[in-house]
This record gives sequence, structure tokens and C-alpha cells, in this order.
Amino acid sequence: MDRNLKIHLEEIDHYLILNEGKKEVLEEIESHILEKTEKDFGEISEENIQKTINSFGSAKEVAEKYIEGFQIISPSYKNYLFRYTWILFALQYCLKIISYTFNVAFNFSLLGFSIRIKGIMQLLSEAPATWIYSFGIVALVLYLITQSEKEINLIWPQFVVSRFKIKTLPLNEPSKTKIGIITVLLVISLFVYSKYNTIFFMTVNLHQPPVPLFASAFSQFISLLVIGFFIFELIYSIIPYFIKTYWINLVSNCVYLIAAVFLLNNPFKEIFIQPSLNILKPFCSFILIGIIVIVVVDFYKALISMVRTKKTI
Amino acid sequence: MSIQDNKIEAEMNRGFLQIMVLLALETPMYGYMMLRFIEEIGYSIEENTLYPILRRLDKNGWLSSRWDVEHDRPKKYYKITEEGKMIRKKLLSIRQKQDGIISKLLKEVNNG
Repeated sequence: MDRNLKIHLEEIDHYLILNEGKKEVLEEIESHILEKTEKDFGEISEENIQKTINSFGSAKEVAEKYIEGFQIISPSYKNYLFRYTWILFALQYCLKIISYTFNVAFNFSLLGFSIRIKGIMQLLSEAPATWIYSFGIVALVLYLITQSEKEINLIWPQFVVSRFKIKTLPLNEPSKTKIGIITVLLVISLFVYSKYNTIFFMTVNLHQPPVPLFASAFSQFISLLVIGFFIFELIYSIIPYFIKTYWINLVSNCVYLIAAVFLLNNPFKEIFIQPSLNILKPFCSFILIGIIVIVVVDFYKALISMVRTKKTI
Repeated sequence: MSIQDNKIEAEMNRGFLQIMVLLALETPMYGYMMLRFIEEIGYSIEENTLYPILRRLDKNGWLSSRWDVEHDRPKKYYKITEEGKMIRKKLLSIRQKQDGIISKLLKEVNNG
């Protein structure tokens, strides 16, 4: 067989997805190319075969024509793919948050896995994997339903549709008021910090020096973190004057996430200046986890908005 | 022809090509022979479009196929089956109905 023809058929073979009859298809194409070359050019030569191959179309194009109409997942189920993925993800991730917060394990021996989250880093790092796992499970189920060619009405109550519908986020508009407020807060914070080495106080009395809320080291740490937050928010609010993109949302969410995790994992033993206030610690952790969840959700929303906007361009 | 034109033609062709193939294969033919036949009757179809259609119709049971060897070259002959003839009848009736509706609408457009 001619070398070019052999390569072309091998390429079609590579792209062609057929359960049966693949060999016959390739034989038919081979026979066609040879006959066409002979009839159109009078003799079968390497050059003439190449001309016929070129007119036949690229291997990918040919293979695609054969698999036209073949569906991995039925179009009517495609909406369910992401809806069910998000639900499964939410269920799993809730269990993971509970496991971390209350230090408990969930064993699903029948399904062959268990959930045991020991640290905040593990909780966060498992988010993408949990989503992909959920996506894989839902895709597999929908694939099996599609291939079974049975009419199956998937459950999707209308009230859930409106609740889980992710709206495209509007791009950030620059706000002079926001910039003004943050600038004032930043200047005040820097002034107070330079004078007292902290910006958090338990009591504020104009006739006496103020009493700090937190222990010395932690107080400096949290004050600098908050000042850093103001600086970042200021930059974040100014950027939309120059460029409008969802990347700003994604980057800011990442920064907030890192800051929240850093705070949750703070290395300081003493936090409050008065030990009696330590009862507030679990409450603070709970708020931080809540913030992390909001930031992660916001990150996904920005990511989806970015993908959607790019698609429509 | 632009990509958009190609898409429109492909969409319009889908049903038409099936009917044409089912009509032409009253006499057994192999792919290349059929391409030539279609050209002779004043139409043209890309070879990489015809073969997948033949395979699909064959798989549906509307065509039957057999391999023959001519001049040391294997050729796959296709012929319409009884089931194919029934489908062809249905498709033609749908096509005629559609053509009737289009003619009616065209008349209204031209008159209005």
C-alpha cells in the first residue's frame, strides 16, 4: 500500500470512534481513493494518491462525519450535568466542613470511602477534587442513561432551579464612594497603628490610654493583616478605572482565601489579652470558615461568569 | 461559499441526501459508482459525506451491503431493503408535504 494512503488511513483509524465495522470503513475508503485516483489521473502514483486524499478531506473531518449524531450524553440531560454536579459537590463538601469543624469522620463503607478532614489546608485543597469527583459520577450516570436509550425523566423541581441558578456576575464598576471610605479607613488605621502598635481595642477612653483587645504579638499580626486588606481593597477598587475583567475577582478571592486560611492557622498561642475572652475562639473559627465558604462560592461564580462571557464573544 | 452557507446547506441536505440515496439504490451500487451517478443526474455530493450516510442507512437496516472483488479491488455494494423502501415512502410523503407548504408560503409572500 502507498505510504501516504497508509498514513491517512491510520489517522482516520485514530480519530474514528465506532463500536463495530471500523475495518470495513477503512477498507471502503482505501478502495475509493485507489479507484478515484485511477479514474481521475489515469495511473496510481504517490503524487496522484496524495491529490485524491486532499480532495477526500482531512482524517479528522472524515472521522467526524462518521460519528455525527453519536452522543455521549443526550443534549436534554446536559443541563442536569452541572446542576447535579453542584448538588453532589455541596453535599460532599458540607460533610467535609462538618468533619473539620467538629472533628468527626464519616464512613461510607458500602461505597468504599470515608470523609475525615484534619486541617483547613486539606479542606481547601480537596475542593477542586471533590468537584471533579462529583462531575465524574454525574457524567457517568448520565452517560449510562443516554446509552441505555430509555426515556427517563430526571427529577428537577422548579424551586430548586431558581435557587441553584448561577447568575453571571456584573463586572466591577469603579466607585468613588468606596475608594473614599477605604482611603479614610486606611489613613486612620495607619495613624492608630503607628501610635499604639494595634488597631483593635477593648476600651476606648479619651482620658486614659486605650486597652488593646488582643495579646501583643497577635495584635500586631491581625492589625497588619487588616491594614493589608485595606490597601488591597483600595487597589482592587481603583483597577476597574483602567481594566474591567473577571480576573480581578478571581485574584482578590484567592488573596482573601489565603488571608482567611492564614488567620485560621495562626501560630499564636495567646490571642485575647483577657483569657476569659478565649471562649470566643470557636465562634471566630466558625465565622472564618463561613467567610472561606463565601469566598470559594464567589470564586466559582466569577470563574463561571468569565467562561460564559468568553463563550458569548 | 462561506462557512455559514456550508452549514445551511448541510442542514438542508440531511433529509434530502437520505431520500436521494434510497431512491438511487434501487440498483446496487458502490460508493464511487454512486458519486458518479449523482454527478450524472446533475447534483454533487462530497465523498466524505456520502460514505457515512451509506453506513448509517446500512446500520438502520434500510440498505443491505455485500463485498465484491473487481479487478483485485474490494468494493462494497449497497442496495435498498424492503424496510428501506417503506421508510423511503414515508420520507417522500413528508418531503412532498413540506414542499407543498413551502410553495403555499412562497405564493403568499410573492402575492403580499
